[in-house]
Amino acid sequence: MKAAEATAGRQAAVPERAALTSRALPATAGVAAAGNIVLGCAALLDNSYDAFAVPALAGLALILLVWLAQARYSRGVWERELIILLAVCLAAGALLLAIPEYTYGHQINGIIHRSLFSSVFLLGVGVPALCFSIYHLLGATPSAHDVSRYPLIIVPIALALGAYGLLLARLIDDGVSGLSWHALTTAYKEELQPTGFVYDVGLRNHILGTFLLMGLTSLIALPAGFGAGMYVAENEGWLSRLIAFCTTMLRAISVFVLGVAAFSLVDFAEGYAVGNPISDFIRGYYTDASGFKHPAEGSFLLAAVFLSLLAIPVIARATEEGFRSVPVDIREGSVALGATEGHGFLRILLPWAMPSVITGLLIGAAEVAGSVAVILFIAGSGQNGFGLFNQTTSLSYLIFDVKYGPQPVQDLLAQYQFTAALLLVFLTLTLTIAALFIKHRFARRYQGAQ
Amino acid sequence: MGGEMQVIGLSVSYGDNQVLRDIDLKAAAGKVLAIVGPSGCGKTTLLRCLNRLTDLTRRCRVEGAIGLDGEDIFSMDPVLLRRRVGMVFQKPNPFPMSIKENVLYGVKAHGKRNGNSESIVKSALEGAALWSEVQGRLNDSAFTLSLGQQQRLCFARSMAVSPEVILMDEPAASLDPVSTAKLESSITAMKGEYTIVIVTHDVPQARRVSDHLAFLHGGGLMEFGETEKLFENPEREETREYLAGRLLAV
Amino acid sequence: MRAWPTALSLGLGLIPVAMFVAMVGMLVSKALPALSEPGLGELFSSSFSSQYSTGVAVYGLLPAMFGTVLITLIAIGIALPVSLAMAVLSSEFPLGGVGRAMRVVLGALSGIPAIVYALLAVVFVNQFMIPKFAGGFTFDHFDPTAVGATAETWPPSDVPWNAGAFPWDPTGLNNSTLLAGVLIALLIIPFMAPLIDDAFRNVPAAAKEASLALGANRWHTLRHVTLPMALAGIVPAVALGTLKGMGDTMIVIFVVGWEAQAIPDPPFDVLERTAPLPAAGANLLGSFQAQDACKEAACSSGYFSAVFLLILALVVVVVAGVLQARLRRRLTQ
Repeated sequence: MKAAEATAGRQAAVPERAALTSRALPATAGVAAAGNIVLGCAALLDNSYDAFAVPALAGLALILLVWLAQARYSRGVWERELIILLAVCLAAGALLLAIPEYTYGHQINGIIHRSLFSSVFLLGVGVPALCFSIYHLLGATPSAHDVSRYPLIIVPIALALGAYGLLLARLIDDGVSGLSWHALTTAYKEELQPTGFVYDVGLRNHILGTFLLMGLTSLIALPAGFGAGMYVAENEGWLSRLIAFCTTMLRAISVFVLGVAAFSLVDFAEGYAVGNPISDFIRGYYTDASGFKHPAEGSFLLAAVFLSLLAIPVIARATEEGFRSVPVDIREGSVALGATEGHGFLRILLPWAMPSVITGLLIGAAEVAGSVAVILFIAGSGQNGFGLFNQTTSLSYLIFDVKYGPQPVQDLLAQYQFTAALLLVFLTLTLTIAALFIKHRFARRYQGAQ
Repeated sequence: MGGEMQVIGLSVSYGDNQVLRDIDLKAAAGKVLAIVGPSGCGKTTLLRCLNRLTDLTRRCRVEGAIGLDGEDIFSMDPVLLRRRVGMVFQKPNPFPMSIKENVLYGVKAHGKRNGNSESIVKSALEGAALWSEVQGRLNDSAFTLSLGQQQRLCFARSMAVSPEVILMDEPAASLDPVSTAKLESSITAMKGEYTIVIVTHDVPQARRVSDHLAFLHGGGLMEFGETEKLFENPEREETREYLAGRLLAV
Repeated sequence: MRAWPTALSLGLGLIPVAMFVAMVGMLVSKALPALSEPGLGELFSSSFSSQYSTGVAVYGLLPAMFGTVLITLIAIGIALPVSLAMAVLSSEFPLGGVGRAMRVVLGALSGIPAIVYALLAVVFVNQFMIPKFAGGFTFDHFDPTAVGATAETWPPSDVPWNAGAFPWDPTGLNNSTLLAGVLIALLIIPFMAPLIDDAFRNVPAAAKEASLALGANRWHTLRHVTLPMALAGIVPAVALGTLKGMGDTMIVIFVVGWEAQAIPDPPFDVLERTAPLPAAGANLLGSFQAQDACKEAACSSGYFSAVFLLILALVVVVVAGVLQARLRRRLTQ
């Protein structure tokens, strides 16, 4: 047995070596190309890796050259794609040598460091080279061609996910430092004492404000969005198309315009005194320590009305999808059994569409929580208490306030800027994940029933 | 000349559901093999194994061996396999392109760049008995054809790449009798050049077009042999019953 | 009227219509004065200065319009390839459970509001803009001699001092169009990628199978069958991304500021700051440089920019709808 194996081993050795050679070059080229890609990403993050760019490109070019020569020698052809790759690689390297470390002037308003060009060239040469190498490593069959396309797909995705990762890492890093029980339970307050202003610093009112806005907006947006979505899904005709059009175009109204519209209403309400319902509902008010009412600059109610313009299209589209997904057979079955439209609606259509509606509601709430531009001109820092008629405030507004608001806010709440962002992201993440979960779970249940 | 396909011990299951059990049969070179049997007995699955379309289905487990001219198809590149084993589907599925582009799709996909695309189109369409009907409007969209014409276009499309075997999954199922007759006549005309494996639940059709017949029932191969022999003198009672048009107890 | 559910849904459904009509009506009525003062000619002129910086008010919105177009182009230019890659990985070239995991991640990312991206712009500024576009300098340690400059040659005469990425930008408020475009791209990718993924999945399996059965590999199928047939579904995804990019206010205010004084020279200079319409409009309306309400001509110019943006959005919606209908017809004719 062993002798036979040995003989077979020796006999296999010769063809093995030939196979190895034809595998070795693509493999080496692939490794070099992958190295180029990694170096390109590293150079994106850190300028000092730029120094290795030209050597890396030169190394890759060398390997490609050897491969080209071997292909010519063993098969007598000049591989056209290999020549192109080699040419591009050499051109990139030459260009990099010609570019000085800092480029400025030339009618471009900035100084550009060479590492930017290095990264672009390294990625631009490395990805095709890697695809090409994988293709030949796997035997140049059509299926190998498919597999060889993966680097082209994965690299952009990796870069994007890396960007998101960087952002989230910084968010968590900076946000956690401000997180404390004190921050969550104290409301921001400025009090004029005989000795000067005294401040309480915390996020409580902002947090409560975000929740109040979400709740109030849903009260308005849910019926309107639900009605619109259902009517569009269940009916044809010009009325249905009009509603669909208006609902979609609500999205197109720039959010800062909504903010200005809200503000102009506040302006209008300034003609009315505190205590007058118009002033109370629009501007809001707060009561100071001596029981005296002062007008504010924009109540939660006002904000909710305008924020609903953001949420309605989301809820309407989700509702429409929900109703459209009801299978025709089930509708016809209900009608065939003689049920009235109202009965069919309550017992069949509504339960079927409900998961979609809830999904839309959750996503709409997330949009509302994150919105700043709508309440830009009517919001404050919640320093005068919290209630339906108090001045609007929210976590997302705080982020803006710290940068562009009045000086005390800028100084005192700066420590909580990232914390507010972190809490906000946590909130919206919960809402969107809950929405996805519901969509996923109910989609399967209803599809299984068919 | 068409190629020969051999199936040995084929068993297929989707998840826990066993669809085919230990199938042995052979599609002789240049001949037509018809696979018949009641609905749900695994005919389509068997056909899809032959060009490894079952690779696309998740949770599909295939055991056994299938050979094309002696080569194991499971160790081949599936893409290269499908260039030798073509398929015509139950519902015509032309691409949203012109008639000419449809026919040449496979040729272009294989990367062959030769100048005689005109002759390829002509001979493929002639083989499918479609040339006379479309020769003046090759650049029209494939959707302007009737269903029967679309199906023959699909047939022409798979012939254009010069495969060795053509698989057909109930090709006449959605066609009217006239189109069915035209399709059957083109099958009979083309068979020497290709090996054809046709799945059908139309028993008389199987008798009309095929040289060999495989009768499947409940996931197993009941009987396999020359068509005329199975019709006149079958070995199994179930075969006689089914081919005579009677329902079978499961 | 039929039964009560229809009546109820109609009644409720007319609320958005009323809101939309009311909003557009208010916008247009407040923008109309801008047609006479400052007048269409000046509005479309290419220079802008507010009263506070130069004492003379010229309300040319062309720089802001240019800014909108430029930022949206950059954002889509980054977001579309990435979204396509994600969709391809998820549906056409699957890699185990990665596709599904990615969809979950994208779903989660879609909840992050724009203001958070605006705040986190500082990450990119520190990690990328400063090292790459200002040569590794930081706000604190700037050494011109590292660039080989002398006191006579620095700053270079052909580089304006308030250009986007320069470290001596005293306010630290404003960075470049490029950065804004990248952040908006990150904002819209979680919305575009799932839509494009759905478009790929909606291509009938029969067409893909036919292509594979003819001996084409998956890449060829993707390029010649799946992608053309999915275009009708990709168009609305791009339209949505464009609308979101055009209308975004917070990212651009934080990153580019609200000054859109002139079209940069050269126009393609993405390192310059060119505030797009939302920021410029917000400035006109809200007068960030003064705390009181908007003044007359500035106000109506601001409303005019809002109306213009609305018209742009309408154009995008209509063009997308027409394209989509035409592509769909090509699939079934």
